[in-house]
Amino acid sequence: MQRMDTLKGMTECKRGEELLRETEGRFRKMFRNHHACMLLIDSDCGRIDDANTSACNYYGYSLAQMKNMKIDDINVLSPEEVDAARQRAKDSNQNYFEFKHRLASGKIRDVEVYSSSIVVQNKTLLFSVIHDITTRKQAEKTLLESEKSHRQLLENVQVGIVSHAADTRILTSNTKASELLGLTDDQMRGKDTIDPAWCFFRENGTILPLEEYPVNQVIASEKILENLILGINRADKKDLVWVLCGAYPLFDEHNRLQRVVTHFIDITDRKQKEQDIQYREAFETLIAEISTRFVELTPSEAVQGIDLALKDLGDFAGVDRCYVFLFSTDNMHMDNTHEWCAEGITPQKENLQGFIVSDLPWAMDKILNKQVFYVPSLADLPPEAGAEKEHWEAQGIQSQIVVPILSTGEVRGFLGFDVVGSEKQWEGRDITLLQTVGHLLGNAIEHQQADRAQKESERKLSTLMANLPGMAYRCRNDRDWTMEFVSDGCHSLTGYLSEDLIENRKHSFADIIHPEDRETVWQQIQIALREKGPFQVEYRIRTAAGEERWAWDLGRSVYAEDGELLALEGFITDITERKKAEETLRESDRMKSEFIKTVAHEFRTPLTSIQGFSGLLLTHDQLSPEEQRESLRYIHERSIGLADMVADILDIARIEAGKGLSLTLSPCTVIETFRQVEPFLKTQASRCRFEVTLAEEDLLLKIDKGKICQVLENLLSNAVKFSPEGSLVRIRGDLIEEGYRISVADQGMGMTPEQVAKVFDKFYRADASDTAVEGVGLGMHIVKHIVEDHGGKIWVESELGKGTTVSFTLPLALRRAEENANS
Amino acid sequence: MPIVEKGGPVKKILIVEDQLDIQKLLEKVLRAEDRQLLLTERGEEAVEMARQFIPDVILLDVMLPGGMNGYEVARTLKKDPVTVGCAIIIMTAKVQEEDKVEAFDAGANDFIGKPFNMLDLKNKVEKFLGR
Repeated sequence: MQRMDTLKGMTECKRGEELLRETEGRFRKMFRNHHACMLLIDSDCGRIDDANTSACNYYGYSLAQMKNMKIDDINVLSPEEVDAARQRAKDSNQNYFEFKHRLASGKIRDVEVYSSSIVVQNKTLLFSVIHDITTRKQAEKTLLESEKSHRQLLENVQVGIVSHAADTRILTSNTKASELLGLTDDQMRGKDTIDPAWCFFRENGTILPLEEYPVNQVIASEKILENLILGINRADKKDLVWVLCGAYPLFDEHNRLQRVVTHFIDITDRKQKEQDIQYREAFETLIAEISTRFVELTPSEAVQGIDLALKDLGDFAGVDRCYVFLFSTDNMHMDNTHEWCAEGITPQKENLQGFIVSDLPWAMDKILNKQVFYVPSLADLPPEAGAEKEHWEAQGIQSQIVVPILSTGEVRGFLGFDVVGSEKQWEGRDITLLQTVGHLLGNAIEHQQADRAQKESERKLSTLMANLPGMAYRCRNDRDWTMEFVSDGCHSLTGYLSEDLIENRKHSFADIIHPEDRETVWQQIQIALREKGPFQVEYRIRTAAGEERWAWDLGRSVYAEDGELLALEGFITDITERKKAEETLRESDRMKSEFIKTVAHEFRTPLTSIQGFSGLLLTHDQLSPEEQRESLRYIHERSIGLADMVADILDIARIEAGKGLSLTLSPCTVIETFRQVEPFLKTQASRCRFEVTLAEEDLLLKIDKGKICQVLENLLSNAVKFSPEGSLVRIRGDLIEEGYRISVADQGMGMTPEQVAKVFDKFYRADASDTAVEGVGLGMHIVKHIVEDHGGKIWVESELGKGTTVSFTLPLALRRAEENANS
Repeated sequence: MPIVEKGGPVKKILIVEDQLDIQKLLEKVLRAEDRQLLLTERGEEAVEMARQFIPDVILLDVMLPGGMNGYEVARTLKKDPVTVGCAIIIMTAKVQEEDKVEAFDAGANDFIGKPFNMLDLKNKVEKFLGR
């Protein structure tokens, strides 16, 4: 725009010079009638030699007056500065100037001036063309301010934002981006080198090649990229930082790619939770598999069963050695009966037969007292465990966990896991599961050692099953899932007694499955049976108490030698808690992305106005001064609106960070508090009627005045927003036991109890449809925090179709003094 | 109340937008000698005006006050034989892919996201005015 004007000005000057060379007469004619303001100035003294009609009209002087003036009378600079500028123009050192000129009316305007020296009738004159650029200057200033507020927003949101040029070069980025990427501003702009190990990982663990970086993908496709999950390998962090990122292209008016904006949010915590869930699932699967396997073993096969269980557990946990020791009947000696070693680890079993228990007093004391002992690293061994330390060092053990093997309440031995090369952390929940394995082995060992007669072993088997956290079963493949065997765990899982399910005596298992899931369970298992593979089904059950729980059924089919299907066998675990955790995770995820979408969307409307009107100012020269002012006013108002939204988001960020809202409490009367919202009530008077009833108007409250004004405005604007036009909004203030209670009651659409329950949730919007109720959904959440930070309470009563009342309490400034005065 | 500008009776554009400043902006950008601009901020009124004036182009915002949103307006007009021929350009700050799909499902002939480039907007409108 400015370049266009400059070109135009220069062309006009050039043309003037050419004409002059032709004839002075033609120059004068052009000069006189030209629509641009033109002056001829004496290059020595600055006297105005001639002015054209446009110039006279612009400055507001007659030609005669103009000819009596010097350029110093118009230019607001000092005479010395004007002289100097004139000299530069005369010597052709400078042709373009920006000045402030004073009009006859006294108004000061911004102008740009193109001057060149010419010779007329043997006199050297400065031929100057003047353009008014006041509007442009103002628009530039407003734009600069609005840009500043956007920049501030960019710095404060919890989203990392990086803006790239079309050649991937980074133009700008916010602090959050540096923080997430772990790069300094200089590193991002390519001024400092980046650690060579820095890179992006895909979710599957492979390194993301450069051409698949979000910015490069968008440059290649010119399309929006969304929901890409990447891990950042940073030099300063051991673990990857996970981000959910997206990028979008921006085009110039010729539809050429101009910029690419990439944005990302930190999802490391969420990712960690997902991995935890996956790990648990895998561990639980393993335990269930081991359990199911034990069900099938005959006592003589138990030895193999234990060896296999040790191998599976050792592989899964990534330990170097796991083993079972059994005590002699007098607990004086112990034997290493089973052992599994990882590759490259020397077996110790042969050396550990008939080991004397009292040689390891510290560890054995714990085991014999049925305690688990867990030492994450050699250095954690207490001083009294000297013998153990020696024993560990001899075998190179760095970390150990040992759980007792119990059967019928007695310690029979222990199950241990050693790590040789490094340290190993175990979660409390994992230790609990290991204890279950300890129980399982205890039962199996007892099983093995006990009477091998068939009847007896079956009885023991059911004792084993009773200890499992879940239900083992054997059933027929029919629509009732007719049970042939059900372990005692059935009772804690379903609330029904196992004997009532056998042969459908009182209930069929199908009855316990949730009606909506019965058909799916049947279909899924039939598909698995066709492929003769094991099956995994998740479904809901209804317990005897009427409760709904999630069950996870892991089973397989059992065939006779001729291939006939005999039965299904499996193990059912209660996974209700896990399901709940997954649901919570999904919900918080949904809320976050919904919020980002809403914020982005709420910014688009004011930006449409700001971009539209500033564009209009920049491209439409024929706008009247009124239209120009109106445009600037819209830009200004919309920037204020944006600033308010930013303030809300910052409040939330502060609340989230646990910093609170930093209230400034001071005494303020009830009436003074309410005066603050009078302007608001006035602007809304055309939409609703307001009735204000305040008890004890002069009572002093102890509040942050500005924040309470924010609360009142929020409640009032909600009342107006959700009420039909012309309806009544009642505002009441009463002195009550807990302080001063203020309530805002409308006769609007009201809410359901479900909506009321969520009204203070972050990001909640009562009306999520596409009707135009504005807002990010943060208002009530912030309001609740403000009231509670004052030590007050806030609550909502609402009836669908009748209206809503929001009430809150505020503390009094003089409560104690008042009570003393009364008593 | 709808504001009806007197102009050449040749081409009619109906602008449905509840933000008054943006309504004004569109008016300034699209105003021309041989055009009549019709303005409203409510969906129900947009349907009535479209039936009465049969505009050549309807610029339709999605989020509107009152009971009817832009998608519903588009759906209603495209079902009515009187207004089925009006070109509808959905103009909205909802710019996700699913929003575009919803706009075209509702019967929109074109889509423009906010904030928009004014040249784009003019071109889109003029395409439907047949220039």
